[in-house]
Amino acid sequence: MPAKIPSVACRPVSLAEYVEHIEAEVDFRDRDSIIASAPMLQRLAANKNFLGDWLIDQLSADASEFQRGNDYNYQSIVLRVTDDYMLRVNFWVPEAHIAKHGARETMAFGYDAYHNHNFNLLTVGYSGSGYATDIYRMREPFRAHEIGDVPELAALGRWHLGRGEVMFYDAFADVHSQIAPAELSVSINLMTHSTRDTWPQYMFDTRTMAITGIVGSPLDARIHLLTLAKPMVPGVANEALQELARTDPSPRLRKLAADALDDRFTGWR
Amino acid sequence: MKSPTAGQAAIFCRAASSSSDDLPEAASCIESVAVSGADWLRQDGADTRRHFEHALGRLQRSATLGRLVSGEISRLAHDGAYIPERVVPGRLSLYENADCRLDLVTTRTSAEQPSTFLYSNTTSLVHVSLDDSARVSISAYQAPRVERNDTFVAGATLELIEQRNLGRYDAIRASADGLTAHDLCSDRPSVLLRIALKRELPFVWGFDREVLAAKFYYPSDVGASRRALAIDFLLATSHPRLAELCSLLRASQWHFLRWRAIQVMAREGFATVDELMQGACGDDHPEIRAAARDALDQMAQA
Repeated sequence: MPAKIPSVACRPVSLAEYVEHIEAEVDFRDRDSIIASAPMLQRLAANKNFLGDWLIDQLSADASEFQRGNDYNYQSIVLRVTDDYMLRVNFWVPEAHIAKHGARETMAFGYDAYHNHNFNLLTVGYSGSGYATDIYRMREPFRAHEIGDVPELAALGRWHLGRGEVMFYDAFADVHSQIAPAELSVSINLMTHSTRDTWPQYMFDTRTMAITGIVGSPLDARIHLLTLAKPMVPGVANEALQELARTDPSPRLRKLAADALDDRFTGWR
Repeated sequence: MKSPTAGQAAIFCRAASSSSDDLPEAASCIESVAVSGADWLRQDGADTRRHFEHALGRLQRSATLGRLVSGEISRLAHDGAYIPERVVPGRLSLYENADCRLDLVTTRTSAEQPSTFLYSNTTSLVHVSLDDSARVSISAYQAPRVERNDTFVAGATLELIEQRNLGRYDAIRASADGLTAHDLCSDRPSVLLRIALKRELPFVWGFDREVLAAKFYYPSDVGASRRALAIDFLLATSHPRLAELCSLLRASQWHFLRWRAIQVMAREGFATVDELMQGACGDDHPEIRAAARDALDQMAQA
């Protein structure tokens, strides 16, 4: 189940203190250990100036390097990445902004876009009124699904991430979509990640909850390379794709390799 | 941090692990194509084109690209955790320096549904077809009545200026001077070599593919939009260093950020409106100059 921890009054910590704490205390492979670090995330969120200070310091130091390598859309700012986790800030723009800029912005911010995660996510409301989110729980998260499948989902209702509140989303099982907040809001995300995912992150149709797409992961670069190589060195590339389709430990990669062999792999989402 | 050239050499080294004896020659081939291609993009002349074609011929004779890609596949086959670097869907980056980059890119096939919008070029490009079994075509467009990349003209239309097929190792140059776009298509999956200058235009325009009319534009660098959110965030939270951020963004290369910084400074009283608008009258962008003059006129009439 997703978890929600209410806001509490607490002493603020700096970003450096927060990082030092989680790197010393948290086992990023362990769900309970991640949830247990929630109070420290609340203390970081209680530091009202750290993010603005961090942004200005980054832009003043070398503006051309600002967020270089951050491939997320402009909603996201990456504060830190290690082999075990990513610390990311998400901006949530309000309804009025979306209405002004239209469908492209809606997509960019992931509103009305149901998805699960292939990572555990601990998030705290940092500023603004905060987003609402409709959450479902996948009954069989560790089962391969095809595009068009409608997995069995249990509706868990509408939740809200207010300032200082923490939510934990389970990898794979929790499916949700954000709803634009009333005012510009910011959340801070602690996301675990592994170098070897085994199950896909899906996108779902808002109305039918059928799977409409698969969200990319770093390992997909193996398929991207082979797809690109096919016209250049077809023998070698097809052989490698056949091997991946047959033997890769990830059902996701096996499926993508099989699709690529048939020229059916063209992109994401 | 390694230099881009050193970084590229490292990639090639891994890729060509089975034939490391010829690494310097192969890396030099790739660098020559990128650098001479960039020269041709900067100056379209007989000499620059000849140098580029010479480098391309050397690359073709050396069969470097096939070996490089095969080497990467070999590494991937032997290491289940290996994640190839610099690969995104449809693009493998081969070389990069401060001035240009060289990529392998896939084409859209005629069987695929094209995207709804055709996007403008943000930099000048050379494309080289690497395939003699696919029929690769390129359509080049220009918006003749658009003067500035950073001033949106709703409904401005693209005109087709060239359409041709590309033979193997055939090169075509697409300048970003003015507002241009191109569309590549092939009858079966195919790969091209693409050389791009680093100097980017500030905005990408989206044209309705059916009628070739401009529908929207957005900053070519996602960093511009992140900066816009940063200023909104500091304003919303009454951050004590908001004035400092406004001062930084007032010197931004993006006109909409400069104007946003000026507006926030005026609203928060970081400087007098008169002083800010007088300064804005000397801005590079005509829309900012016009808005500043309007504001001064209104103040004079008030």
